[in-house]
Amino acid sequence: MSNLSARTLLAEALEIDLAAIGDDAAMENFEAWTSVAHLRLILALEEKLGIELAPDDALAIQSLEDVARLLARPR
Amino acid sequence: MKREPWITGMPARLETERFIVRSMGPNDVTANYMKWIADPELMRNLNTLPFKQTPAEEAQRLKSYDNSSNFQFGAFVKPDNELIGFFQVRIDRRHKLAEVSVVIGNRDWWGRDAVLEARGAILDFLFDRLKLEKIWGMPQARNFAAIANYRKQGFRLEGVLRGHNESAYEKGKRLDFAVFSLLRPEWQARRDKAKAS
Repeated sequence: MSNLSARTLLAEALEIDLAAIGDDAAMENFEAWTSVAHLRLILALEEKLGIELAPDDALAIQSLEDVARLLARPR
Repeated sequence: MKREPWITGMPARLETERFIVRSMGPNDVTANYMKWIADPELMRNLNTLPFKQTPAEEAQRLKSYDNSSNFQFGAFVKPDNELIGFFQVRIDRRHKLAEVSVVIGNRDWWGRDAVLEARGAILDFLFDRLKLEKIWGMPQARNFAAIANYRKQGFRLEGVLRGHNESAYEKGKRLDFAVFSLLRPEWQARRDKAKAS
């Protein structure tokens, strides 16, 4: 569930199709993961979680897996 | 790209696929540039209040860069030489370090890897010509666009400086900063990988 949410958030931030987001999607290997896309992603994630991310959490986001992990974390 | 001759203290000129990246001088104080440095949205990322100086004063300030221990590079789009943003570089010769910061003023270039491309040329210059060993930057921890660019260029996060500066914009608020750095062997490895692919 959270993985689908993560994928959706990432696809929207990167403005690409959901199907284009592979399991290994990461900032390093994804051309569409631009600086502006990254900004959109973090803001969307904060909106979804209803919190301002702690610096360590925001700085750790570099992949789909990182986004999914944050969404799955108990709140 | 071809490497142009340069000696310490002279303006530097670098070239990438899309940009000329060169030391800025008094003649580069354009109306757009003056708008950017007076723009709170842009200056907020540097935690600097909007500049209030006149174009003449800013031209004078640009003259203070000695092209030896400090530089202000402009990124000019080829072939029209339109300035889209600038990089400030402060060098510590003793420890072979440089601190780099960036402002892309022309918003049409946001999200188009202008920072990666132009800063790539600056990194080559700092490592190859100035023989530096480490380049670092310190964006605000909530400057997510800048952070993405550091990550994508291979910079590593050294840590977070918590409550490190007083906010220039919100009274009583202290700001966190992230420290990113890139060492010579890391940059060389990226270049070798790019060449091989």
